[in-house]
Amino acid sequence: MTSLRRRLTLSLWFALSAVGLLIASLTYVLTLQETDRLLDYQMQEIARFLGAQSFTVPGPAVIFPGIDLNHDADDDILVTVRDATGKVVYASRAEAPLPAQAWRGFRTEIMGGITYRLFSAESQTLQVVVAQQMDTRRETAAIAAFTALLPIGLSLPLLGIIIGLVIRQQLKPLRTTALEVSQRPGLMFAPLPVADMPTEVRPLIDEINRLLARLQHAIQHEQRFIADAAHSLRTPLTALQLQADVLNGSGDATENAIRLIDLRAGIRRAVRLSDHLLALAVNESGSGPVRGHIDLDLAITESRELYQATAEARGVRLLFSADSGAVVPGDARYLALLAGNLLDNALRYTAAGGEVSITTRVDGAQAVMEVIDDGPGLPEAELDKVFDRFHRAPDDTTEGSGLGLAVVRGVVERLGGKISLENRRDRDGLIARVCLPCLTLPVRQQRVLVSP
Amino acid sequence: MRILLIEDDRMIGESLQRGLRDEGYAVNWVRDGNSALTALRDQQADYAMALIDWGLPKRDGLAVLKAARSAGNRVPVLMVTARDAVEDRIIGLDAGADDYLVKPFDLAELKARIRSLLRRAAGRAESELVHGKLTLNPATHRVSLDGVDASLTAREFALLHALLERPGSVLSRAQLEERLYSWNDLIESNVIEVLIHGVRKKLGAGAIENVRGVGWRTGDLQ
Repeated sequence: MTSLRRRLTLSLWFALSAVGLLIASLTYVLTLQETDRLLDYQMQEIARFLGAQSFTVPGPAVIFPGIDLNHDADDDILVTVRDATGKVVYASRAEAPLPAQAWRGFRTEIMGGITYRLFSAESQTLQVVVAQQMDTRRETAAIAAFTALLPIGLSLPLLGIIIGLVIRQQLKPLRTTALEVSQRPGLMFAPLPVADMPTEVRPLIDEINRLLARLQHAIQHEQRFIADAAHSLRTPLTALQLQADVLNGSGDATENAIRLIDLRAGIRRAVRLSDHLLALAVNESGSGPVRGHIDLDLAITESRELYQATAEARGVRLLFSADSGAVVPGDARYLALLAGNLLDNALRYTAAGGEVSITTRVDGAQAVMEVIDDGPGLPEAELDKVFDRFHRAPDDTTEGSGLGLAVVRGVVERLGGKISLENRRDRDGLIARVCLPCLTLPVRQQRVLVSP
Repeated sequence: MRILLIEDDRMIGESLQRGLRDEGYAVNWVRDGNSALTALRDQQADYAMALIDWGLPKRDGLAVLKAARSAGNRVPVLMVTARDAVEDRIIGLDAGADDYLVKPFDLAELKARIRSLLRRAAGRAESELVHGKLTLNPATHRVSLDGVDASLTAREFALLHALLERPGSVLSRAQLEERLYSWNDLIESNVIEVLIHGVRKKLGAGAIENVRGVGWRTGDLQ
C-alpha cells in the first residue's frame, strides 16, 4: 500500500529539508567567516584608536565606544599599549600586561593555556597589542550563525505541514470519490464524477467509467438471461410435472405405457432446453476471437451421422453436399453446435416425405453453408425476430426451446461470421445461410494425404 | 362436466387433458387464442369452466378472457401462466379470471381449484353434494348411500355428478353426452344407458329416474 499523499509529502519535505540543510550549512560557514572578519576588524579598530591616543602614565580609563577597556571580569578584549621605549603606558589588566610583540599583524597564540587571537600594531609613538580569547570569538560566531539558521530551522516543520495540507486538499476529489464508491449499495454502476479530478487521473477515471459501463451492461445481460432461462424452463417443467402426475391415473396399461413414452419425450425436451441454455451461456461468457481452424466439410459430415437417424425416423431425406474445401475458424464443438441446431430446426419443420439439404461452398473470401428445408417457411416479419432468445413464431406449434437460433447466431458471431434466413423462392421452405470467413490453409491437401 | 382447455404447449395440453379425463371431466382442447374465442362463443358447448393459458399464439389468454367477458360470457375461468409477479396476478384477476395458477403446478392442486371454482359457480360453499341419503364428494370421488360407500367408475361418477348438480332437473341424452365426453371421443349410441344401468345397479333402481322422451333426473332417495 503506497499512499500518494504520504509519498508526495515525504519526498517533497525531504527535498526541501535537504535544500534547507545546504543553505543552513552555507549560512553557518559564511556567518562564521563574516563574524571572524568583523571581530578582526574590531581588534584593528581598537588598535588604531589606542595608537592615536596620548597616554600619561598611568593612563586614565579610556571610554571606547562599545568596549569597556576596564572591564576586568571575563575580559572580552585585552589591550596593552607601550611607548617607543617599550614601557607599558596602558594595560586593560594592569597586573598582567600582554607581552610585547616584535611582529605586526594577526596571530593566534597560546598564552597560559588559553588560545588567543592577537593583533599587534604600532603608531608613531606607541605599540599596541590587542588580544581576544578564541573561545569567546567562536562563541560569538556560533551565536551569530545559529541566529541566522533559526528561520530555516523553524520553517522546515512548517513547510512539512503546509505541503501535507496542500496535497491533501488537491487529492480530496479522489478521496471523496473513493468514499462515495465504498458507500454505494450493492451493484451500482453510476459513472465516477470527473469534474474536479486532476487532469493526470482523468484517463484512469475515464477508463474505470468505461469499465463500469461494460460491467453494467454485462450484468444486466446476465440478469436478463437468468430471468429468461428460469421463465423458459417453466413450460417444460410444468409439462414434466403433469406428465408424471397422470402417469398412473388411467386404469389401462396401454394408456399408461403411452403416458410413459410422453414423459420421456418431455424429459428429452427439458434436457434439450438446458443444453441450449448452457451452450448460450458458455458461448456468451467467452470473449475475444475463437482460436483454431477446422475443415468445414469434415465438420458438417460428422453432424450428418448424428442427424441421419432423426431424419429417417421422421421420413425426411437428408442430402449432404459438402466439398467446398473451405477452412473456417473454430473447432469441432462450435461447428457441431452450429450445424446440429440448424439441422434440428430444418428437420422439425419438414413434413414426412420432405427433404432437407445442407451444402457448403466458397464465395470469394467467405465459406457459405446453407441448410435448406421444404417446410412452411416463415412470415417475412419473423425472419429476423426468430434469432431473439425465446422468440417463437406465432403459428409455431413445434416443441422448440426458442433458443436454438439464438445459440446459432451467438456461435456464428463468435466465429466472425453472419447468419441470415430467407424463404425459398422456388417453393415453400426456408434457407438458413451461414457465412464464415474462409481461411486459405492447405488443410485439404493434408487431409487427402492422411486419408487418400 | 365439460371443461374448455386453452393451452398452446402440446405436452402440457395432452397431460392436462388426460388428468382431467381421468377425473371424469369432458375436455375440449384448443391451442390458440382465436380458436379459444370461437369455442367460447359456441352456445351449444355449455362449458362448466375454462382453463386459459396466458401465453397463447395469435391472441394471448388475457385478450381471450377480456373478449369473452365483454361479450357477456360468464363461464368460470382459471388462468394458468408462467408469470408469477403479483402485478400479473392482479391484471389477470381484474380481467375477469376467477382464479390464478402459476406454472409449474401440481395436477392435484389444479383439480382442487377446479372443484372449488365449480362449487362457487354452483353457489355452494360445501364441497359435498347431498341429495337425500345420497352423498357425492367431487374431491375424493366417493359416493355413499345411507353412509355406505358405493364404488362407481369414473364415467358413472361423472354422470351422477352431472345429475346431482341440479337435483330434480332433467338432463337429456345429448346434454349428458356433452358433459361426459370430449370432442374427439367416439360415443357409442347406448353409452348413457349403460352408465345409468351401472349406477342403478350400485345405488338402487330409484337413484335415477327416467323421464320418458326427455331424459333423466335424480330419483327420490328418501
